[in-house]
Amino acid sequence: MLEFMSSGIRSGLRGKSFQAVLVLGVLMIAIAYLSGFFSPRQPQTVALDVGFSGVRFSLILMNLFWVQDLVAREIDRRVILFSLAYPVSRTAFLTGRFLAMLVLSLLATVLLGFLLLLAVLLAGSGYQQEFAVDLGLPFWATVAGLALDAAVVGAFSICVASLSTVSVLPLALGASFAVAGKALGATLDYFARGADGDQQLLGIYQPVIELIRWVVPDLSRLDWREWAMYGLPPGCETIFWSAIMAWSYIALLLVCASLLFARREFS
Amino acid sequence: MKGRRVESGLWLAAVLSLCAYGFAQNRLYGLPGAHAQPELLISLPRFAQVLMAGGDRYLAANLAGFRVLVADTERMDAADYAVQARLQSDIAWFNPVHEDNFYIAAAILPWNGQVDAAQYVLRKASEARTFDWYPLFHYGFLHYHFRRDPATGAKLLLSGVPRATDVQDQWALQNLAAVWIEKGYQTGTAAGMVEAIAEDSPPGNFRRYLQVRAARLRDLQHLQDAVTQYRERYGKGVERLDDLVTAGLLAAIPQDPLGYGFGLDSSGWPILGSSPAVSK
Repeated sequence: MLEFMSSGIRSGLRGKSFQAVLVLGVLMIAIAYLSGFFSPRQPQTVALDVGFSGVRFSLILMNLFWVQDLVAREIDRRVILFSLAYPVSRTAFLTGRFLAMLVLSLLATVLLGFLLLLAVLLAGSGYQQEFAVDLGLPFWATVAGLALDAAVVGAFSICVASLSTVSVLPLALGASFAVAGKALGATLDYFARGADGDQQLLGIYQPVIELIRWVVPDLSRLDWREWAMYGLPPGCETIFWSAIMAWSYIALLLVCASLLFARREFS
Repeated sequence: MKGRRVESGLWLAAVLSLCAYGFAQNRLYGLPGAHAQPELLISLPRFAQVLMAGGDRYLAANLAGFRVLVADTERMDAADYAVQARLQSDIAWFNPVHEDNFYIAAAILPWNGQVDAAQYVLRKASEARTFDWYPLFHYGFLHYHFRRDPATGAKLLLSGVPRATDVQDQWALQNLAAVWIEKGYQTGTAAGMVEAIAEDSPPGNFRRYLQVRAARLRDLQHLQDAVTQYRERYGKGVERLDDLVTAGLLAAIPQDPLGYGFGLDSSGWPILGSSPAVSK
């Protein structure tokens, strides 16, 4: 498993798509810095807000490209037959690849986190806003939450890759999953507040949404940016259960991926 | 031979397409565009905005916020303000804690006929920003000035007192609430508050906009004071604002910087004009 992990890290760092997304991530941080100029009263908060969105977007794209490079494309090109020729289980291969993605993702998170920190400090250098942002523990906790969010999406993408015969499918479905999971919180909130009094909408969609929320995790629960931006912590219980939800969902996806992958035949 | 004909045909098609495109662009450039401000042309449904932001409601709030911030308030009409009101209500739903949103909503929307939207944004901000008394201050002012409901306004000011960490701020809020309750609505008080809000804003267009609004209110206050003196002196009200100049109470009728002018209501009391055609 460690072999698969280290080889995955090496090829992940060499991958052109990763390098392209890294450049995109750096560009997004630059956009975050510039976005601060649009705010009359809270330039650092807006820069931080846009920056968190950029970090999440970049991390998810990176994880999806890594899964595509390290799993889906190997299957597509039949290179995987060499990997599976070793006397190790297919579960070890998938777990190794997931851990490789996780390590790479952590490196990217730290890098983008520091860049964002710098961008926010520069964004607010000319104006003292009344409510300062907190760039200590709340900032890093938020960045960690975004990395965990991206890890869930990566695990989902690995699960899709384990049965997909088209290499681009994990990327496309993973991206859809990321949007759906993130938008679920807003949707649940909307229905919880009565859908602006639209009873017909409530009647039709609420049962469906109630079902979907058990299948797709609410990834917006891993977004704790209000803590860093406004000093509104989500609460220990929320953080704890959000993390448990994410890790257990990752474990579930990896187990499903292993079961599916073990039964797959490569001709 | 056939292949060369096909290639020539493709080149011909490319040249024709390019010409058609260039010609169309040239013609379109000379035609008038849409009436509304381009940055405020469309207000998409909330879910569409969230999906377009990759499911990220904070990003959706910021994207809508940038559209509001780049809009040129000096060139906007009622339709633009209606779209801005919808956008700002959406932002309040995506991220009610957003500071710029409630601040801009308070400073622009109610002055342009969007009192309900401003009230929604300020209510959401007051609930979400539990550490900040400013939304409650603006929410209270909205009730005081636009709803002509000093009692509710004062109640909102007082609910902001525990949030103020500075003792001076606490006293100011309590004092203002007392004035509102004792004296009811007064144009001079409202003008002073808008002046203070403008003073607190960063320099630029936004501050100038608020200063114009404050100057208008201050001019209205002068007109109302003059009408009160006129009534005391002659025992009757004015029929036209020019009567104040004739009586020597004013050197001239103030020039409204927005061009809407001032008018009289049915009881002969000066009011702000709501359109450029208001008769004096």
